[in-house]
Amino acid sequence: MAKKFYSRAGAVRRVLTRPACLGLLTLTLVAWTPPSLAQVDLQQKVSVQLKEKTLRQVLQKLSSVAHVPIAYTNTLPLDKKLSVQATNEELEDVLRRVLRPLQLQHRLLAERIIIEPLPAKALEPSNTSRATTVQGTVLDAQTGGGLPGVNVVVQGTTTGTTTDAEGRYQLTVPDGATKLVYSFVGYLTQEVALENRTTITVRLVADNKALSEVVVVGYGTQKKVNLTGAVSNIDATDIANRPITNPTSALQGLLPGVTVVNSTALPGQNGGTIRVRGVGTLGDSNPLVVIDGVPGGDLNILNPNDIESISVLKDAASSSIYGVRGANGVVLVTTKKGKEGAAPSLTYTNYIGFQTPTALPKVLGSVDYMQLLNESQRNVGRVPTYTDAEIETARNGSDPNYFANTNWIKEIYKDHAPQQNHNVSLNGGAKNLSYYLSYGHLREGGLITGDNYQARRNNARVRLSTTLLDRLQLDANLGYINRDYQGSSEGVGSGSGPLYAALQILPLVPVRFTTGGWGYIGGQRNPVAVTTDGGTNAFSSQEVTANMSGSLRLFEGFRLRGQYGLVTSNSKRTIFSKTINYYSPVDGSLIYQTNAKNTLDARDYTNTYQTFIGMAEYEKRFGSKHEIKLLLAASQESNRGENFSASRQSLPTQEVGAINLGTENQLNNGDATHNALRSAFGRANYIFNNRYLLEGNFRYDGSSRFSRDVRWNLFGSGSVGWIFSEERFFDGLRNTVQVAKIRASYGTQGNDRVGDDYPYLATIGPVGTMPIGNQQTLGYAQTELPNTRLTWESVQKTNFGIDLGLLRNRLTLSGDYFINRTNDILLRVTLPDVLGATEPSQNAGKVQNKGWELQANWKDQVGQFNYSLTTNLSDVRNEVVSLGGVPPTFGDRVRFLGEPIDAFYGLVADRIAQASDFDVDGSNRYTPRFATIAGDPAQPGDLIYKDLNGDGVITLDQDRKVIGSAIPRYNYGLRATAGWHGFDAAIFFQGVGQADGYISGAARHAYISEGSLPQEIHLDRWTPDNTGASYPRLTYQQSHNQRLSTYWLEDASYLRLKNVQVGYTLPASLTQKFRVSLLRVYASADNLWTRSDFFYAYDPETPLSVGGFYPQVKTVVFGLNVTLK
Amino acid sequence: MKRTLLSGLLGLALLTSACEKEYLDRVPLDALVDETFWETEDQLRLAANGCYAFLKAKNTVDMENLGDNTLWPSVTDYQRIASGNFTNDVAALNSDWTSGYDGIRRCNAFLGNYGRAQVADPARKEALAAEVRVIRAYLYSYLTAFYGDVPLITKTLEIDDPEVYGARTPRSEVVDFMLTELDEAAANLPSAIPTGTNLGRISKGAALALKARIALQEGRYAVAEQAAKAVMDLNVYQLYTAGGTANAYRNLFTYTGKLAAGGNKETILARTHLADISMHNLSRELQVPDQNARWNPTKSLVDSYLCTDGLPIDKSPLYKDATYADVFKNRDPRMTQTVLAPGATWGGRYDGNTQNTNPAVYTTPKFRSDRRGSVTITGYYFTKYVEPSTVAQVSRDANDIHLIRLAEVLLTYAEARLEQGKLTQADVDLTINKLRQRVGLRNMTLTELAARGLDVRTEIRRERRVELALEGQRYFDLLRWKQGNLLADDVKGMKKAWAHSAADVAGLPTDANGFIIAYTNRNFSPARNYLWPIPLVQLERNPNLGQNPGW
Repeated sequence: MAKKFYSRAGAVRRVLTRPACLGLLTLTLVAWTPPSLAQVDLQQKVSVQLKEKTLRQVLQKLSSVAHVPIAYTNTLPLDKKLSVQATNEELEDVLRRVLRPLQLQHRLLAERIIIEPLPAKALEPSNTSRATTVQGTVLDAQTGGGLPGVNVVVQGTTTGTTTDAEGRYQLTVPDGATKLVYSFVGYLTQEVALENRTTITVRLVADNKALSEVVVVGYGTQKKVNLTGAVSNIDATDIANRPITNPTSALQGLLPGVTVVNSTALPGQNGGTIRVRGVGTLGDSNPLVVIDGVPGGDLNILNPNDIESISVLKDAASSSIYGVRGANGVVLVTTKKGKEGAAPSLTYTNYIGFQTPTALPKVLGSVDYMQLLNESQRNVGRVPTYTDAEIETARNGSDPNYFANTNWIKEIYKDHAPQQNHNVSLNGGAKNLSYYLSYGHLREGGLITGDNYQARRNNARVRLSTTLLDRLQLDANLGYINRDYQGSSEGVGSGSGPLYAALQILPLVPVRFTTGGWGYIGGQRNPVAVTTDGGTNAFSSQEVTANMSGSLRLFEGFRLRGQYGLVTSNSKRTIFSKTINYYSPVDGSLIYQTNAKNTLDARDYTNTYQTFIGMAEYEKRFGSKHEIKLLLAASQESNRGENFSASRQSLPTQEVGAINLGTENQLNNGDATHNALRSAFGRANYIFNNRYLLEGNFRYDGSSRFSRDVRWNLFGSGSVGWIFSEERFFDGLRNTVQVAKIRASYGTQGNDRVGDDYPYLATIGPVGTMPIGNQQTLGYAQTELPNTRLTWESVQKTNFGIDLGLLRNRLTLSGDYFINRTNDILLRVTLPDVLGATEPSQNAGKVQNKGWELQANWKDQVGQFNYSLTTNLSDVRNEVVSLGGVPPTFGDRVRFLGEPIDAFYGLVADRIAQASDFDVDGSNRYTPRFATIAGDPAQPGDLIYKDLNGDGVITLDQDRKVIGSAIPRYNYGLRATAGWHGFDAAIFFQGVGQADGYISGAARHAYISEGSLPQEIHLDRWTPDNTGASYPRLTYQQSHNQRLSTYWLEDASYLRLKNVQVGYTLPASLTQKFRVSLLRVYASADNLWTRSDFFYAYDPETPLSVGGFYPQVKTVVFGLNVTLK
Repeated sequence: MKRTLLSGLLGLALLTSACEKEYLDRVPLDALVDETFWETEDQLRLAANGCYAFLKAKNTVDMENLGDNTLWPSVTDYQRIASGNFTNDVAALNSDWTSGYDGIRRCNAFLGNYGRAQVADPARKEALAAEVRVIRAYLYSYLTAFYGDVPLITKTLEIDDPEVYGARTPRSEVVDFMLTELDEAAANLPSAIPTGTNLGRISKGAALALKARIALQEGRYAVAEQAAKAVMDLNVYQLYTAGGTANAYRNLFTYTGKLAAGGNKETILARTHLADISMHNLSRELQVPDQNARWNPTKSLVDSYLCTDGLPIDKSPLYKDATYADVFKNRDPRMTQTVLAPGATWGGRYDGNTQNTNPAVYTTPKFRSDRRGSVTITGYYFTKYVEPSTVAQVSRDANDIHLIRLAEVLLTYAEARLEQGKLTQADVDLTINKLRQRVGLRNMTLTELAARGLDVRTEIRRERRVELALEGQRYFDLLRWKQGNLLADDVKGMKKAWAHSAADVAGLPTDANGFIIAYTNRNFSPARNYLWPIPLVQLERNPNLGQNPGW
């Protein structure tokens, strides 16, 4: 039995020697240092005096003295007593001296010291008569490199060996043996059937998802097994090689309880919205983003390749240490770091590919447009616009100037947009030093006609860490971002811009007249002219994120940390609105003009955010059963932004856009804003007997956004955990379930984001007014009401969770149930408008979010085949609990008690009325036999609305109800990866189980206004001959059928193949002669396939809209990863 | 070395307590705080300027859609209201309420604070306050005209003031308030027409003229008469005559009549505009060259113009209607300066006559939507308020919107005298005939009217309709005259037979006499339509407002 390895759970507990030691390491490096990158210095001088201690005790002592994790298995003679005396000796020498006599050796691996038997002596071939020799290599499945020190054992025996420096092994296998077992610390154990082979090469998969994992938490790190809060995390491999342009998009579907909505792919401006456990407030619901310990970063412009890990703190226990602003959850991003003592490693990755829209409207041509227009006009008793002769003209194309047949959707969109990305990084280290340098370049093309739409981003990062005098660790992390994006001078958005114009312009208009000039025949401006000649809106920005920190170990278990963070940006926007002239194709005269005077508008934005954080930490283990950790800290942050803009008109050129060229109307403007926050906070952890976990947090916050009297508030949380798998009663189960833990937390947090920096002050500022004295005139006025009593929103969060590790930790399960209740919500309580001004925010509302989250991960290796499955599913139910006693708002989106925030409020449509629903009189007048809204010209083909209160008429105030909600429910993700020899594949599905969407106006309807044009779906409109139609009859400039009703609410649930990628890594044997340690080629695609019942023309993630948004895209890329060592 | 580092980090850790105490006291960097404002005359002027933002601009003209002078080609809120087929959720009902009270708040804020300022000459700050009082009364005058009783708010409301959820004040009380305020304002305002950097400011005449308008609207004829007479007696206003009888009236509504052009002594209050800075889209809407003209004069308006002999068309032998062009002959000269006549220049480009190759000259109405010229739905176009140079461009019209001018005051005086039974020929000569002389139309003589069997009241009202067409007054006049029934009539256009191409109008419905019916199915219930309903949103937020009768 000597060679039988303990279960994984046993290994977990023992690998990292004393938990206190680990805690110290991680906590001291924390927040800005991933724990896996701790440094092990074998040359450090140690002093120990031990007499007659067991080997276990000796190793523990050495570990604690040298601050290094020492890992060993229970197969070693741990209870062997020995004595050690060393004074200022190198650790390595001491170890050697201790281990040699025991036939053991030490080895540095994965930042740990591994103690193992001396191979040659410990593993003698057994003396079986008929034995075969098996040899092979054990490789790291990810890097393809050989793994030294892997234990290879014949299953069911103690016969075994370990691999050499190159990962090679040779083993004599007794007759009758069927399987070999390969095991290694930090990797999943693998069993391989012999099948009479004599050469077996094995790839081991790193076990970095097991519960032994260390995760980044607020101002520190924590072993996942000891977590009492609700924290989800991903690491670099989860988002690698995807054609994402920003890390926000990358989070979608990967983390339970984290909802990301990506609605647009507009180059440079395609960041999605993140919601952690639903919408907790009626105001700003964005979670706090903390990058390398500095709050307030912009996740959207970070280079995804620089990210080492992302943790999302979801409950009060984990996030309340961020107090203010943590109320909506916290996203902690840790960037990559070099490895001390590691050889330089140069990595180049790239991809090149293209984007295509996921959905586009299908519009009808001129003949259909004209015929249906006439029909819609006849339907409301108006004179049809077009004669048969004109329709014939359009049909035969004989008048290409005034009766063209243009598909404007095709004209405004290109077939595809290019996208490419390049990254170079160098990392490594020397003694007492590590470095990471990276440069990333991203280029996105646009889908819109003309060359205006494009974006570029350059990210550079330098990170240096050093240790001074054994006690002081310094870390400097500098990020520089230079990015720009541009588009037409007209922006894209709901109901505006060229994409909206393309929905509204008649197919009769030619893109260009036969005379060559831009086509125009009234109504809508020509969107192709706008995007081609209408000028540009160019944004460029330089951003610096600087982050310096120091950590000083004063004495055993106590350290001080200080951090300074700076995020500063300098941005510029230049809008050149150019004159577009439209000339008559008949006589060449000017018939229309946009931007009669061309205008150059230059805007300058600067912003500086600074924070100081000072922390003191102490941790200690008392006896063998008590561990404590304490953290006390203070911080302050301030933010200041200044904007300046200037414009001039009538530039004598359309080619060069510079402000000095303008000749008229020199205007300028400026504004500025600032705010500050000051906080004291702390945390205490207590662990008893490795199984009872206790944690408490507090935070005392003061915000400049509130008046002095109500500025400060105290928030706190408490949490408990019980690792019941450590209990004796669990022993019988341990072979199946290695780790089982339950946890619970409760706490409060605050939110000061009220959208205004001085909501308590009555401010007076400039307002526009009528020109007095024949010159531009300014007035001064108060435009918003102050509220001096305005104070923090506070969220009460309750969380219950369970974590399980099963089947040798190959299967991990995690479940959470939570109730978040936001009180004193900063709410603009709508008041009667006799007030005469925008209502101030009041602490009025209450919102509750209840939900659950499940996550299951499976990772295993079968022979040469390794694979993993990661799934998550979560739900959150949002409910408005109180609106501060004021009447609810009415409109299409409402806030009603007991309903989700901004629920859809509309009529209930029954069906389309048929002639049989009407009484008909002699003069063919139809009188409905159903209730209608006064003034609606109800006719066969119109919608029948349900008379909810049964009073015989439909009124908007009596017959509407909540009919849906846009807040996504049942978010899920399923990610599978597989590797086989050099091949790897990953597939990632993501979706939403329930959500409602609403597409209205020109994007959905035809002829309700001059600018709402027919699409293919409108061919199936109601007519006396098509009574089973899907669309009501066409009614020119009437919209009684188009009111928000259940008829128009879209099912926004979807299942999407979010990403699929396949790659091939060339065998190291081939590439290593060129000093290439890794060479991988891959193809990757995002959003390739979507299953949804949403309105066909738009992506299910499209925001509520009347059309005009830049679409969501599918992206297909091909790329290369190269690492040189 | 170690010690330095140590103390440095300790300092860092204790930083928050060590730093300056005022760290969290952040005052605005780009705005003033209420406590420190309202101190100087400059600040008062800036605050008063801010109130001018609530003088209605083109919206004044838009309100013409509530009446029977014009027809918009597509459905608008004002059109729905005018047609009688609407409910209390129509957006315009609420936006007029909301914008009114937004303006009133700004005025109240000024009037509640201006006393704090230290101004060397107190008369100057009272004059600014008077301007603001006039604007506040102006805003209330629309609220009472639309909704009848409305909450009378005269102070800057805080969110917990009971007035926020108060009931409505009876209309007569609001009117009393407005009239008193305007008297007070008039007393503190200079009578001269403001010029130079004050061009466009409110003067004594504006206060009095608004008082006359409100008093007339409310049937307080003596007050109206007195206020109108006071304006006339200021002797600073005179009718605009530049361009002669054939052009002066129309010129007033072009750039030549802008206050800034210097020649206009007729306009008492205008919402001024300025090229590139403050512009609207009215000229283009009137004759938009490639679509339906948004403003289509109705048969009702066209028919209301007298013939040159002073007789209405149904009585005058001069009236002929064999052709489209005939209609414009021998008519009140204001007709062709208001409604586009054949032969006039226009900005609408190709008209209904395919033989007419000169896009600058209008000959015949266009019904065909071929996007090559301005299309009418009634057969008529406006020329009043068209500044031709701005028709081809969107929202490049810097024409002033004339809110009150002397002509209205004269008409108000005449009507007020009439309604009190005091109208004399001298009154007519002082008012109506001045307007007629400007355009060269035969004088109105009371004896002649009697001899011809014409009703004086009808003729005075006709004069008002004709003179003020397209100036946003017609709807309020109809309400005052209790002629809401006219709004229930079908809206008609020209006779179909006059069309240049019969095919172009073939599908248009006509009445028994062959006139185009452009809008039908209208109704007006006297029991309820003389007032707008309280908007749904406001009623939901404050049920204490109560609803108007019939709604």
